[in-house]
Amino acid sequence: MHYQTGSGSCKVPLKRSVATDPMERIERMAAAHAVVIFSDSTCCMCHTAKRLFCSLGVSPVIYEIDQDPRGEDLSKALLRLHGGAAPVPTVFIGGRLVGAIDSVMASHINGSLVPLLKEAGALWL
Amino acid sequence: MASNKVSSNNKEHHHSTQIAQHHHMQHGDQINHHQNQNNNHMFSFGMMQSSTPFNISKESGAYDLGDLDQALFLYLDGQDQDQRQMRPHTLNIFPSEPMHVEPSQKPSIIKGISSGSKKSSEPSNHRNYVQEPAKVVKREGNRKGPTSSSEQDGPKTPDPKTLRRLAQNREAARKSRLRKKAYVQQLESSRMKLTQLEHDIQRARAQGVFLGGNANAGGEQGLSCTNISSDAALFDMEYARWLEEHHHLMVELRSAIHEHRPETELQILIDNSLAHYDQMIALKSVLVKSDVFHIFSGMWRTPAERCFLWMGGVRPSELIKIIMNQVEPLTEQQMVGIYGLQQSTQEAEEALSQGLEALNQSLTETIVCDTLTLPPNMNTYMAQMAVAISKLSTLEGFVRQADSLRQQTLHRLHQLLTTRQAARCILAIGEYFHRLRALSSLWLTRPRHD
Repeated sequence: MHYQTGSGSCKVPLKRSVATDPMERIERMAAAHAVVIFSDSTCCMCHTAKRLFCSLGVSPVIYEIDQDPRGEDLSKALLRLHGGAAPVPTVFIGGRLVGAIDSVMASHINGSLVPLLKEAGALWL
Repeated sequence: MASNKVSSNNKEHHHSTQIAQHHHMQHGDQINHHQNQNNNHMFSFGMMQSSTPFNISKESGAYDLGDLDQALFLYLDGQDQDQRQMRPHTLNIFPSEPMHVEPSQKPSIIKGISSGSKKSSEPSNHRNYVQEPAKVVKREGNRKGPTSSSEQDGPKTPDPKTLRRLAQNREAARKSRLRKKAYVQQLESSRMKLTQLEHDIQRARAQGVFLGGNANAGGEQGLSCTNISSDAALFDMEYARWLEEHHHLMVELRSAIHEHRPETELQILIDNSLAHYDQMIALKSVLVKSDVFHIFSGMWRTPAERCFLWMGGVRPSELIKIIMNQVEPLTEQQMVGIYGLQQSTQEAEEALSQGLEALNQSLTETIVCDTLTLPPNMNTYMAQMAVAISKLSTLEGFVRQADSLRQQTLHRLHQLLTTRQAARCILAIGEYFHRLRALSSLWLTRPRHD
């Protein structure tokens, strides 16, 4: 099977929602839910991110990129997105990029995380 | 303890004093060039009367016999042919066997003497040893009588060869006793020096000057050798300097608050203090890259601080607890903000702690992988170790994140509080750690009851 990369039309009839460009995929996945975490099942800092959101009463949607066949592309794209030290964990809230764990924690400490969650509909008072 | 022994062995003590004085007289008669040592002799017996450490009384007896052994060697050398006569008064003071040894076994004499010399560390035994010469020699004479050759004239003339051997043994025993005493004295003086050094270190630390390296470990464990990387040692010195600077900042802040200086001045001091804390975080960040375990283990801090250690430093939520009462009165808005901050720091800490737990578990699983009881296949073992190392390196990320949390909490507090409140808050935090460090010093120098 052939794939055509880039945003041109895909000539191969695969499953419905296939997007070949990893960046597009990320954006699509991020937009699909209120809170999206790109994670690695072996990464402990990702575990921290997941625990944090759970403790806030939020149920994030988690994509384990190590279990994705094109995970490496995703990983590179994520790294390009927020320019952090590690591709995972990367958090999107309401379709918008929040960033890596340091951004998430910083926003929680300065009190901006919870309003953001409420805005995205992930938290109800 | 020495006094107990003195009181319980009074009889023997007295007895041995008499014998010793007898020795003294022989001493004076025979060997004139030992005159000066006589004085020593008298002196040490004087000491025996009081409660002194055992080694002094031991020394007097051993010294005495040692001199006589020398005399004996000289004598024996000069009297090769004549094995018959020994001057009686010389013989009286050669205890050929200690009291506790069976006189009937010849080899045991040597054993007896060497064990006797080992036991000379117990004054009572030694005094027995010294006091029994007449008795023992008699026994020796009796034993020798029926069993040895015709050259024995009577109970007081044992074989010179035996005498020489016995004297040599005594000489060796005496030398080893002296060596042991010297060694023990060296140990004692080193110990005192060490205690003195430890006190000096604690005193210096109480003034907020950290002497670098693992002074903590040295104080707690005595002369433990500390394996500290050069980066860590450098960090410790930088931290020591940071503490000094911090102390000056706090002093200035304290006087600024109590003299009610204008807010603009206070604000400058506050900004300086916050920048100084940021400097500390930066220092830590540099070391975390090369030696995360030095930070993580808290070895750069004092023991009391280490009690509260979380991920290589203080818990941010702890900081908030500390300042809660120091910055009142708070407006409602401030209270909401601070309680919110407390909650979010707690949630963040909890998440990080759980992440660390996951790391521990993952590490254990990696190391255990195959069964631990079978001999490892080298390839899989090395592969496991490589995975384990990469997992371990993620510890850096946790410590870094924890430090970020501390920094952000401090800055957020500053945001929520007024200038005067912020000044008091920073002072309170500084004083809290100062007291923990003082507590550590006091703890390390506390009187111990054995």
